[in-house]
Amino acid sequence: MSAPPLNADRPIPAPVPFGTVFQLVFAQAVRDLVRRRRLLFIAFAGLAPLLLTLLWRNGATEVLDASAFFSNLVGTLYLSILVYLVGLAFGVPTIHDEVEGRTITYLLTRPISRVAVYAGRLAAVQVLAAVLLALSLVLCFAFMVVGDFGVVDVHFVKQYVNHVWIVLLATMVFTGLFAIFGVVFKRPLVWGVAYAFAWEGVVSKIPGQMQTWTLEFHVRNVMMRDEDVQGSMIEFLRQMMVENPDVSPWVSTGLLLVALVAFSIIGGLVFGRREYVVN
Amino acid sequence: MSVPTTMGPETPVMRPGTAVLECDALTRWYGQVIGVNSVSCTVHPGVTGLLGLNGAGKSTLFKLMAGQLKPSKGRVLLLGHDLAHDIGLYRWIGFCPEQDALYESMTGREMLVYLLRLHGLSPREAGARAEGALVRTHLIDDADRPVGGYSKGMRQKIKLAQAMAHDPAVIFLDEPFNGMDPVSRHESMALIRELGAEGKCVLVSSHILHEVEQMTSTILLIQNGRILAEGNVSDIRDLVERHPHRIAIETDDARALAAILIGAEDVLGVRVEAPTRLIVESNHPRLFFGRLPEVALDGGVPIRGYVTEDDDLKSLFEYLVEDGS
Repeated sequence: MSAPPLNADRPIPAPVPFGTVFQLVFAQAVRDLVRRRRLLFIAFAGLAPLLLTLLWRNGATEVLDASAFFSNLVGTLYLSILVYLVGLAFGVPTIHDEVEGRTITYLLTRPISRVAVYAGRLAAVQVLAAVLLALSLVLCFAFMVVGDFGVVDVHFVKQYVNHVWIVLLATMVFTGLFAIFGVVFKRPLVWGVAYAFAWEGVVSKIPGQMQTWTLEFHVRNVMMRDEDVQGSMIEFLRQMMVENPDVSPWVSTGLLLVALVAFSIIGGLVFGRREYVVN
Repeated sequence: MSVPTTMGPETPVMRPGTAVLECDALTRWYGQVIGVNSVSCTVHPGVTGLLGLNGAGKSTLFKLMAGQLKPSKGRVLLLGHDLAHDIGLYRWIGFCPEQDALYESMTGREMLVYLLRLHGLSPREAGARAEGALVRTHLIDDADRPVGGYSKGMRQKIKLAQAMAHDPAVIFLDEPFNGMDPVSRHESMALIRELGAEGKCVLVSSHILHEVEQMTSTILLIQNGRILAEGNVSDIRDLVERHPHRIAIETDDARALAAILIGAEDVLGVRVEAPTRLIVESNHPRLFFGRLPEVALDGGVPIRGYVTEDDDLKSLFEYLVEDGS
């Protein structure tokens, strides 16, 4: 090596603050996602429950009351399909889009923390995914009650709030998990689909303790139990699983919240240490 | 470059002779394949060309120098500091990647402002710097169009703009002229020369010698992940001149022409490939080409045409490798 350069004693400049990077990346990711066709596709998927709600309003209100219908809707459509679809569509590309698009180089050559980049992009996809499903749920509610406010009682509102909360929490958890897939795997969508529909979809239905290893079990476990709901698919499933493990909903809630935080931290750390060879 | 140059508030003042970038036994393996093999070099302010064939290891070396890849062995120092240990050092670096990747839905201005803000600049300052970079790269008229609609040349320019907009001390430009039209190429080369004259350390990779020659006389020659030669373009030119060139000549009588040429001082050997085709190996091609019309006339052997078969970097590198071994 040659003699020390003249500027060797110059202080090293500080990196850009975490909060600034988070804010910039978050705003950019939201703008980027809103402009993409993927959002439109998922928005259409989010309309499916509305169609079912309309069908229910036009003929099935006698068979299923509002509470039973809404529990069925959330249990069979939102928690079995939509949270996975939305989680995959938003979570996988969190970092994978930058890697596939090879724009990651621009981020990795800035004086910024990779963890801040990950956190900013993850927050953006989680918020958008949650907003999308929240809008869908709000519209379902509106379709259910318009012209017939009789279905709205305290019990129904409590159940509705509980279900909305658990759908949004599940969406954020799965989005965070699939974001890790996007950082770790070369084909994250394949792994994500396999995980969602082979592991979660199957194992969470197996009677016995094994189902507690799935996130879906804990998601369903947090759903408000409604003894009066007859014909609910959730209740049917519960009854089918005679050996349903007795886990407190509070434990499940805690586990899901821990998973939410843990997935964010793990994803950030993996992204922070991973080397990207962009060609 | 005789006076110290002050750049942005974050940018260090660099004087001629300052070792801006130092590579010490830099080595990088990709599994069993070696990408860069024990490269040691020092880069100073001004423009330096990194010249090598496709696959020679230019991009890998750039990525190692810019901290994009971790070396398997060795280290890189930027102004005496190890880039691997402090991301704050990226304030001093500008990187223009080889790959044609941009934020397609953003306008040129949005993309620059976004990337400048990631350097910690305020919105106002980022806007002003973006404007300046757009003017310097002749993109100002298209600044508010989405980059997805840019031509190849404009895309290269916006990549160049983002690498220099924050006024870094070191700018890495990986094959910046790929796909550029002649006018854009000329403008970009002028800009790179300007940046070098301002005292920035600009590293430009290319596989085209004359392209690099138009910007700088300082080059690093890389082949198979090793630095083969380091120094002045004229030295490399001398090597080009000295190394045997193969010239294929189309003539009416290859044997007669071979007999005339064989004894000449600038001819190392001749081979008759066909009755009308002769391969000549010369170690002084300029001299040989100057003499050829005269030889044809004096000898009475018409020459229909000739092609230099290996007047390119590949043969030069092969020659250097053979010479060194």
